Amino acid sequence: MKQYPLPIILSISVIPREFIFRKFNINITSFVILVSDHIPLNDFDVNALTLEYDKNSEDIMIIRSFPSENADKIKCNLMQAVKEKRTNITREYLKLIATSEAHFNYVYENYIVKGWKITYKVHWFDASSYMSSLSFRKWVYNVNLKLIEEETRAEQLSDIYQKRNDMDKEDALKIFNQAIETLKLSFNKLL
Amino acid sequence: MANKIDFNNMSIPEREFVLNEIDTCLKIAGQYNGSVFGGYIRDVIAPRSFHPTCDVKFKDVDMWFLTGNDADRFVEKMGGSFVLQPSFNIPDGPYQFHMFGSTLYRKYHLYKHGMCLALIDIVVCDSLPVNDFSVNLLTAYYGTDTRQLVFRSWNGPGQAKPKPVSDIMYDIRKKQTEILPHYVDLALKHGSHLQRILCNYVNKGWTIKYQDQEFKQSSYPAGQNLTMWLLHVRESHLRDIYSVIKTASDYDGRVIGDSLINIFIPRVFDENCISSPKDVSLWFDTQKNADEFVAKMGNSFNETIPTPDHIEYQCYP
Repeated sequence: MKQYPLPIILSISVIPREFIFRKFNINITSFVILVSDHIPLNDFDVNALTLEYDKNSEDIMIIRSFPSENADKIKCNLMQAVKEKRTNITREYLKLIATSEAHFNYVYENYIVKGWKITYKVHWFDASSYMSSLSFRKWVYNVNLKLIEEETRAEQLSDIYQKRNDMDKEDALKIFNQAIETLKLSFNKLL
Repeated sequence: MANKIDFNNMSIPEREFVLNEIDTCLKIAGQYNGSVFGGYIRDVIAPRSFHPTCDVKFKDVDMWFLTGNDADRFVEKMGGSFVLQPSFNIPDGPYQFHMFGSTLYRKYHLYKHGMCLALIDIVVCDSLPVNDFSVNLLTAYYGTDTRQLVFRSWNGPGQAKPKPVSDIMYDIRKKQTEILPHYVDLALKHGSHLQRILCNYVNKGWTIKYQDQEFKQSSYPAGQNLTMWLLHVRESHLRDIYSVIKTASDYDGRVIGDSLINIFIPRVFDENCISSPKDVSLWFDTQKNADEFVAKMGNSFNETIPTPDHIEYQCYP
């Protein structure tokens, strides 16, 4: 079996099975079958699209987007994105292609070589301008570096907020205890 | 540059001398796991195995090594008789070897007594770099012990198992070959590949087949008709794929992934979009549906299992 670079899987483990479709003793193409409750791809936003035939018709094809909340609006946007060959990469997959050579090559061959523009937040890589593997590698590296910086900063900020919260709690407890003491004193005076 | 042999007008002794030198070169390559493939097998080795003294013509010798280290050791062993062609540029468009990930490609001149005898193409790749015709899925090499030429047949892209060596030899003898599905797209996109099919196969009397359709020079004299035939082949290839998707839809199967966004959706916007998928990912939400779909497809669906990607040695006399 050839190496199938697995897309990142949503929380469940999906084992792909590959079948060769043969006709007249010729291998037409291979089909990879994935079974899961959720759409088993979260590498690029355009991969939320699916295609199937209408069961009630011979030749009508239906394109959907998953998950199904706001599906029609998302579908239109994604269809337009496919037409213009632009896509947003997910944070998880961006991290994965920085560490996995197989996934990096998969993205390079299936997206960059085919002229896709890949975006992560404000960072974008336009394959129509820079098609080399090296420039894409640099982009992945740089964006990941920024991602790590952002995450580190976020963690630090979270620490600071946590500490401030803790301090606020201590202050509140002091005030509360003082209030109790004051109440106790007032109560004693009344008695 | 030193003298060159005129390959088109060489005398019989010259030809035998050149073939003998190439044979020596192949024996040395065999020590470093190097195999010969492509035109030299079709036009020289196979015809000579049918008729040992027949007239043969060839352009160059394609040699395949699994690792750069093997290729380098072979070139080193060949010493001064191998001269790198410095001005070689890979032609425009995806060259036939470009489909194969990390491929190293170099061209050498084989020299003897100050005379250039042959052009040797060295390709380094971790799989056989052939994506065009079924007859090219055959390699030959000299085993280090046997000193005898050994043939091997290999899987093509997306193939489940290799064709037997004897079948490929029969096809070469009959001058017939199947075009591999993905090469159809490449030929339609790049005129250089179309020319290559005409020059190397059609004009030399080969019949090109796809399923039950065939193309040969006698029935279609012009290159324009080859394009029409390839377009027809591609459409019937896509029709077959859509028929599987339709069956999958009956079991709530859906196409997802890069074949969808790079091929099927672009075809919604432009039905003349020239591409067909290397593989198609189908998503089912229950195992039951997936199993029923596979059962419905029956014998036309063969699960790939980890098997050797070539048929083991078969020797020819």
